[in-house]
Amino acid sequence: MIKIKNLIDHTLPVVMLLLACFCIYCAFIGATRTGDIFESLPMTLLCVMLMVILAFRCLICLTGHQEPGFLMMCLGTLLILFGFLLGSETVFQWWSHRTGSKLPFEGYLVLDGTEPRAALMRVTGGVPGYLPFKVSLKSFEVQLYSSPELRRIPPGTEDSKPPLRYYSAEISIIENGKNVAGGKVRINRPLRHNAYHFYLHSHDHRLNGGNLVTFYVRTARGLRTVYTGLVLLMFGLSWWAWAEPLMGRCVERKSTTCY
Amino acid sequence: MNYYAYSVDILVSIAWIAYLTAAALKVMVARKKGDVFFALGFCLTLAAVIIRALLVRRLPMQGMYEIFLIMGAAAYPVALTVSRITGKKPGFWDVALGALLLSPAIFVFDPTPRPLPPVLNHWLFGPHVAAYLLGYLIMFRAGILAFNSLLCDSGEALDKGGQETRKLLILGMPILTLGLALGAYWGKLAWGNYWNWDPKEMWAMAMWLVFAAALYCPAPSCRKRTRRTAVLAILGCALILCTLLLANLSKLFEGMHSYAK
Repeated sequence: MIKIKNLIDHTLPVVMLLLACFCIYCAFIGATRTGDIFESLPMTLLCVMLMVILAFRCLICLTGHQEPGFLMMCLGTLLILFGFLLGSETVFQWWSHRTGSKLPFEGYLVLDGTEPRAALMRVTGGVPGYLPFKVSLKSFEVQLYSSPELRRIPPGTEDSKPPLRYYSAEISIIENGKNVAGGKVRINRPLRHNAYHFYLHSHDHRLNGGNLVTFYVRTARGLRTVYTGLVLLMFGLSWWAWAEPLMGRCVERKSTTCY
Repeated sequence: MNYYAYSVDILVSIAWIAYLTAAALKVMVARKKGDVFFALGFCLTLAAVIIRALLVRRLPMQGMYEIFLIMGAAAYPVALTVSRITGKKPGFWDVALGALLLSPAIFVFDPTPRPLPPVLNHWLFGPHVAAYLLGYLIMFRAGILAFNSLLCDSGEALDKGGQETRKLLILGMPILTLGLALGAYWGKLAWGNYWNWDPKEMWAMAMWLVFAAALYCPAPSCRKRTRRTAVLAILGCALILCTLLLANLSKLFEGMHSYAK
């Protein structure tokens, strides 16, 4: 067991540094290509391999070696990787293939307020699939920075058109011809319905006075797992870095004062 | 209303001179006088930050000008924390770091206030940016300690410097991770995904991984471990610069975080 522990403890920093180098390379190639690489099968397999290593390290922590902070960190990272896999397009496609589901993973929903729609679009064009319900745009609201807001900005720097301050859209979800849900989608406040999250992506004014609002729609699988992992990682790291040394100091102080 | 903007400029300039004077006094071994000027520089920078916040009517954390202004102000409390951890009074490097951080705010970046884009109008804006800036400062200080310890001739000084570097890395790592976690949560709310493979995110992840490796690296001997930790801490500092400057300013890395210019 100690041999495995040593092996893992020597391997993990090397893996971290290799991943860091890869991240730097990815920063140069852009978000789209990086996303494609990390969603690919080899990266999925690498992710699984890392999860196995971390699972072993967790087991070692549990069997004898009292490292609660380190255990939480490993478990947190393990959960983040697991959540990432659950929410990845590769796993989603594999699952869809197995179950015969034709639901889309993500896409853009363009609504103009005229009729309910279910088709999601890709940035590159084409329809990746249809939502299992229809969505209609009820209202759209835009708020610009008013002149009093900009009055404090030095003169000569104001744009002729005040910048955007806030925008929101109200949508309703229609299933079998009935309104089943709905609400406001705001910036930083998405709307969730079933497995999908709706985000405001962009908007455009039409010549006839109407609005063309684009929503980004995405499945929300693995999200709670990732959040739990992040909390565990944060808590474990704080425990390991701050609480354990403090407690150690307390024990040391206690021993010197008592004896 | 320009009165506010001019007063910020004047305060920051005087604070910068106070920091430089403090650094010069530290070199001349007039430590107590140096401490007074360092504290004065901090008070002036803090006043500038408060006036700036009143001017822009939000947390002054948008754009490189405000980022460097905040970091210039935070240099003093961070130096006090570092001195508590290392047991040494704030030295030349602490003061020099403050002056260095204020320099871009005075000489390089445009101080014109800009309205906050809708996506940044969220309660996570403050905690996310503040956690990262604090983390950067502590890690940068650790990098300076690591660099100094590597330059030491005696093994004892190397060991001591290494220990202090490690203590600072241990202090800064949870703060950096908090910044990362808050960013992931906010990213999901704002953009639809907790990780968007954005160039700045990739630089930040590389930096986090290097610091994590610096804390985790085992070695056959204590001295080797100290050296490895020091080298990785310096490498991490280089990546902080890339995350903070290169990812925001270079057109090569344009992405979702580009409003931080």
